[in-house]
Amino acid sequence: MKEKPATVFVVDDDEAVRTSLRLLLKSVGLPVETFESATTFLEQYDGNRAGCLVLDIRMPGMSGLDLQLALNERHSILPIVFITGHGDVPMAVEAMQAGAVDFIQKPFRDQDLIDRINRGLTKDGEMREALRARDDIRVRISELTPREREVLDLVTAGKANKVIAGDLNVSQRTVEIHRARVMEKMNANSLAHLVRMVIEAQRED
Amino acid sequence: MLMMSRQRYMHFDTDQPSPVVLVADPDDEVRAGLRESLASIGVQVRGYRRGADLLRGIESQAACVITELKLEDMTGIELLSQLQARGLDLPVILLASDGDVETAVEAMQAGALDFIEKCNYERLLLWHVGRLTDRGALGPVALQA
Repeated sequence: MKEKPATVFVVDDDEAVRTSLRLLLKSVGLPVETFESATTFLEQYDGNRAGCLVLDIRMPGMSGLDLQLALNERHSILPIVFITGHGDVPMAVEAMQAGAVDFIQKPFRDQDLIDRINRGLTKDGEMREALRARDDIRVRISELTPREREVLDLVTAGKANKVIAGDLNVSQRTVEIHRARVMEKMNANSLAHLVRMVIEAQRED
Repeated sequence: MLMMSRQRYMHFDTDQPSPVVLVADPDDEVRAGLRESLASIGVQVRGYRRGADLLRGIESQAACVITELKLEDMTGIELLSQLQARGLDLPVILLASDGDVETAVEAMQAGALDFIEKCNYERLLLWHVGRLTDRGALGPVALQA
């Protein structure tokens, strides 16, 4: 399955704004899709698609901030650059606290917006890469045998082979063999690396 | 400016040592006001006129830093960066007597916990500090009255 390229999603109720942003972003070679309301975007957006959301903060019906909260509830990682006509400080702070990567006031220079969108796209790429790496670790853990899994838990809890052998009622030599296989299957080059992977796999965010 | 009904916040355990908040603001009245205001939730204030003074007096067990955006020797955002550069990830709340959206966004991107315009800061400050120090359980909405 071929993934769609990172796309700039523009949500703005003003058709003139959507048109001018579409032209601007196309002119710098960024794939762009526009939506006339937050509800439409929410219905159509597939959370797995990479990109950056350019979002008008004030819209009739569902506002930009409402959409941000709805996406947060769905654990979306899509970075948001807010656009506002008449921003005030508390609104900007609220949007940033809720995780927006940026917040820009009209009128802005085209290049300024493009720079901010590009930063959003970079961040999106990094986050998706980190999530892929985490999934990869989880798959590797799931492929361990039950006994290897036990050894992994005990090793990463800081227990020595001798102690693990006692806990599992097997010989120290057996523990060493399981341990070596765990390191190999997990693709870990040190105990510290293995511990980092286990911590990463347990992260929820 | 900082008048409030004190008894509403007296719900903390007085046996515990007072949490400490570091305040940087060139205005004597603001520091005094914050001292009084935060004392009402059992939080002690160490006040500094300048950013450099706060950095010199820094103690890692402080609950948070509250700084005016425009200090005499640096901006509040610079103070935040200097704290981060020293590996101190204390929550930093910026108070702006004269703030705009651009500066607020810059501060939040730099990692500020909040950016509050001085015209409406009291309830937010008490909420944050109360939460960071386990004093005062009232939410931001409840304090709005």
